[in-house]
Amino acid sequence: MSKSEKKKKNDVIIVGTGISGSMVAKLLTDHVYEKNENRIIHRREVGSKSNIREISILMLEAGLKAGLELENTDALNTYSDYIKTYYESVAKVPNSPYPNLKQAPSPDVIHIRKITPPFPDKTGYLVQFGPMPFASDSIRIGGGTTLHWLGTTPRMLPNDFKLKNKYNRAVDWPIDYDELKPYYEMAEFEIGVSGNVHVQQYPEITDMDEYYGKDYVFPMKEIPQSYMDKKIMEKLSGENVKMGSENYPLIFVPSPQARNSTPNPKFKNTKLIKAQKTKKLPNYRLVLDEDKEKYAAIGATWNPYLGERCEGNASCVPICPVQAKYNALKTLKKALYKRNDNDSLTRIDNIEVQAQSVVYKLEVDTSDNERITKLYLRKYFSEDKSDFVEEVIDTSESIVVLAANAFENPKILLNSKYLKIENNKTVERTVANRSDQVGRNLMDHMVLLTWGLFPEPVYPFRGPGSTTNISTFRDGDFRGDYAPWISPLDNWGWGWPAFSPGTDIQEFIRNGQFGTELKESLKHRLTRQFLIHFEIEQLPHPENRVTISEEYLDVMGIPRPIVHFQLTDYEKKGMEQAKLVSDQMMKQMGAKDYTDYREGDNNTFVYNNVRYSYNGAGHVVGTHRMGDDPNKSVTNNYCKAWDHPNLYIVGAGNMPTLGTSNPTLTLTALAIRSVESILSDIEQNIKYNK
Amino acid sequence: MRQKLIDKNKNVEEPVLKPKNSKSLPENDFPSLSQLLFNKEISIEDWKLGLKEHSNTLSNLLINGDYETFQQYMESTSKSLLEMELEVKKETDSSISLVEQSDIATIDYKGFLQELLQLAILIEHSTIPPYLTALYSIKNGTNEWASQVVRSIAVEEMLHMIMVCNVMNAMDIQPSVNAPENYPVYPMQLPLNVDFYVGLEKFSQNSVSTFISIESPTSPLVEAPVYQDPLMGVKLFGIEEIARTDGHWNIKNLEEYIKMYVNTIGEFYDLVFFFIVLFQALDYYRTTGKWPSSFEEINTGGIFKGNPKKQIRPEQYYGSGGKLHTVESLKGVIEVFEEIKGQGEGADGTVFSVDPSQFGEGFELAHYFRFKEIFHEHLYSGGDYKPFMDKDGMMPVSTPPVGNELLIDWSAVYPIKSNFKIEEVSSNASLSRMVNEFNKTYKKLLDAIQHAVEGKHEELEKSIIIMYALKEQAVNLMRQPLSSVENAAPTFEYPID
Repeated sequence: MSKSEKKKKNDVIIVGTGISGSMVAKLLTDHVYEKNENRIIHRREVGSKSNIREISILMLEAGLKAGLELENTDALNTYSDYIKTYYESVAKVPNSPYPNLKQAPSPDVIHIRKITPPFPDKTGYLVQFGPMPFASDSIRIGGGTTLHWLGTTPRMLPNDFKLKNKYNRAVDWPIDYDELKPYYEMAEFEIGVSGNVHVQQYPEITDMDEYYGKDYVFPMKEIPQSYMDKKIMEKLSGENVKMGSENYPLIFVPSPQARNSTPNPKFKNTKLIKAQKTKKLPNYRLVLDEDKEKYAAIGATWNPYLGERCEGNASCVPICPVQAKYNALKTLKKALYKRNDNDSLTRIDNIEVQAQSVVYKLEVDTSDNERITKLYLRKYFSEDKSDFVEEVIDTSESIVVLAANAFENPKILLNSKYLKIENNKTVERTVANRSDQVGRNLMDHMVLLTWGLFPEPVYPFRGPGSTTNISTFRDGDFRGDYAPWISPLDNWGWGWPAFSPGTDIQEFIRNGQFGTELKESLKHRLTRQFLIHFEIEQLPHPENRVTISEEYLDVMGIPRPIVHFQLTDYEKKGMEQAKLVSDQMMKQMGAKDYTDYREGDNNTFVYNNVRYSYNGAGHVVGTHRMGDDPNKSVTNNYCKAWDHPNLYIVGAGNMPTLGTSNPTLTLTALAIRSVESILSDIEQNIKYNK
Repeated sequence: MRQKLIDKNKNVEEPVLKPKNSKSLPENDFPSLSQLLFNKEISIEDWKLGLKEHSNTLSNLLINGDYETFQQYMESTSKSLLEMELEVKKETDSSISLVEQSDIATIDYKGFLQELLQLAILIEHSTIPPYLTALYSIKNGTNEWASQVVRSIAVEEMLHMIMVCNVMNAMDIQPSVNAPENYPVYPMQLPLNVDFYVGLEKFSQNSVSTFISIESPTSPLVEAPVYQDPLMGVKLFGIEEIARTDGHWNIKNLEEYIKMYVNTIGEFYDLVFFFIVLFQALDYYRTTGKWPSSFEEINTGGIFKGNPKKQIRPEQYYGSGGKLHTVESLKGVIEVFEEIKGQGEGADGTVFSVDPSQFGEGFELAHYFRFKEIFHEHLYSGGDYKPFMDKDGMMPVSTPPVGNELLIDWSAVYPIKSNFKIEEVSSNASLSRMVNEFNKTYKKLLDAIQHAVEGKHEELEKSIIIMYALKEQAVNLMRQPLSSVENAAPTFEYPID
């Protein structure tokens, strides 16, 4: 092990190349500092090149260097390896295509075990104290977990931002829906969302025109709903279900999704996200502006013509074989490559991405306004060996952006202690943790699955993973009492809850079937399998948290996340109600219900004498919440740490509550919005250091 | 974001205006446009030379957007036309217009252009089965880069075919892509002045070198495989001769001309373009009584009286490079031909600019260069071309790529029989049926395109699904052994009911 100190100063250091890190990097490199006017402007507005100073950025990624290849055969080879690994793996779980590195391990659903308190389960990367195991995974790799995300992109609902005010539950956000709306539009553009705004329909929103904006359209047209969805809708559209004493109409909505389809001519040109100087703090405001060329779908990183349209491969999770589904490598590529005078893309040299670098600690200078002055990382050299070098980066003139996900961000923060003299006493502090909220309020959606056989073939796996959701129970007065949910229809047969088709084959063979009879049985069963998915909102709970300890380290001596996690009656009752709704739907469809929850399931509980089992949704949220009060939240509403002048913490960890939407779109909108404040800080730094 | 490999800085030859009424021209010289068009007495050799020169010039001027020189060119033509008419008047004392009297004025332009443009469709079509055969012969999961390149180029050839249909529809000429006579027969020689044969072969150095020749801007680099006893060439035009005139302007002469002078696909498009401009100019003359002098005068109207609803539009196309252009005027024709030529089919420069930034990310190489990358197992990008550059920073078009290594596994390919025919397995009912089933699926693909260009645009979407079926059926065929060394293959023949 050797120690080296990096001399080069960067304006911004970003930890993580997932969607939030790449999005911040992309927006920053789209801008330059204009020396005459002493302000930051968009690249397209540059008059004379001699008057500009580029914003220098260092990105750090824990995953392998191969995962950051963005060009030509190298990018293709890495991605093809992922696909091959997926095809060959027995358990096709979300992380199955990607390397699980000992130097940068990832939580993996195949490592989840039932916990017998007080003993923690240490099978996987997470040290799980429970009592309920945290059921979701993520991946530490170039492009982050967007490589295996499903790609569903609903926005949060206005009431999701004000649970306390409206339903006397949890906390309100420091910003409301209207404040976030323009950044949702930017996120939908950058990610490339397909869908039809006019058919979106949500409870408690009477004026959908206002929700999306009257003339608003997604960049691309709706992806056709799958055959299965159409069959289910034929049976259930217009039907009501009873919940409590009330009747609710089942609202089927084609989901907005981050998969390429035909560009919507009404979206017109592609857009620029451009910073404008304003009087209002933080002195920069991002706006969407028209670019020169027509909007076009963005295909694979190595071949722009591959994946221009979704091909309906249905393996969105864990990997889209053609990159028609968005992943953050596409945004990372935009951060690294800009158009030159020839209209070609050129790799710019003011941004560097350093792979195989695991950031684990920050250092603070208490004499300098508690600036983050050093960043510690361990850099490893190969997938196989555990050798590493220690590297320390001077960040005293830089802005540090932690974008490493809601496990890694708090892990780094909790590992960063510093001494401070307060009231003549030396006290130990943790970075960004005045509020004691770092690592707390860990949340996920509880995915209650119900499955059955449809009266006629529905042919699962035709089309993408999920194209429709039932929005009926996303909001309503019942939220004062129990959790709301969204119900996506999943296009994967019973693969997720029952490991079909393998288990079906086993069952039929066990019953002595073979030859034509076996084929017919499989044909009958597999073509009729359907799955409904009830994604239950979990409320923030301070004891659901990530901590660290010297006792649990990884191979490089870096702490592993320790997770304490449990459900409250709020979520349990939500699941109970969802199951009652499912029972009614099964009946109305004339389907045979095969739902089976067992005591042996990893995530299972008994509520009102009925057993429920659930899965994780992969939505790791909440561990560095934003807020209005420095004593109750980790960051302000621009994702800037309250306690340090040069630290931003971005990602799903910022979200004070979860809502019923898949969080990626929302976390992206928040990360985009944070750039306004980062730009303002960069401007100040440049002026100050001149 | 494609850069043009055509060197736009190349000086366009100034139009040469011949001394009026010269009946014989000096050797190695060529007639002016007015002589070519309106002087019935020039020799057949001069006619061919003139056609070559003026089709190149016209296309260079308009495709490069040099409207100013085009105007000079047309004005001087108009001027010398007037002078010629004065001369005639002096001699014969008659006032009949030379234009009205000329051979070209008697040609049925629709029929004439239909023949030429159907030939363009055939040329584009003839490349698709060879590319698809090579593509399908690559074993799944191997040679992914090469697969994606060949696939992308095959799709671009379909784009070209569709755009030629757009050109035809713009002039109210019915395109045909799915009739038996639209089928290429392999091995075939492109109906141009070329010495190689195109066939249905597995992915190999031989087939890729043929592809390089097809897309070649200059002479082929590698000898095409020599076939024993080629089954047949392709007849240039249909049985019916559309234009019958007593002068040089007839199909027979044009056929001879193409075989002698048209070396690349790009040059063929120049010729087609020449005739479109010519017929448009004649139409202008008929309506106004004067020869057009500017681009604006012939851009719209005239022979462009097709139904715009039949145009396939850009949003209906994706999955490979290039852009789909609609055609409602001469401008649209220019865009289409520029796109087709620019994508590497006969870009007629022998050198291209080697500004290294052009080989950076986002730069899309023309087909010729993409095939060369596969052939030489290296990318252009990441290579140092200084040793190949002349003092102006140019390098020969034949320069091999010396950039990043591109690993090709030439052995991960099904050993299929070249130019396989269904009749070879007539005694094997099940194999014969498989071959025919494939041919039916291929016919469906052509049907979808045909219906789309007849105005039913939604039919084009079906082609995506058909392409999947096509691949599956082709690969199944390629797994069927014919002997210990060769497997069956798709034949791309017109299906038997």
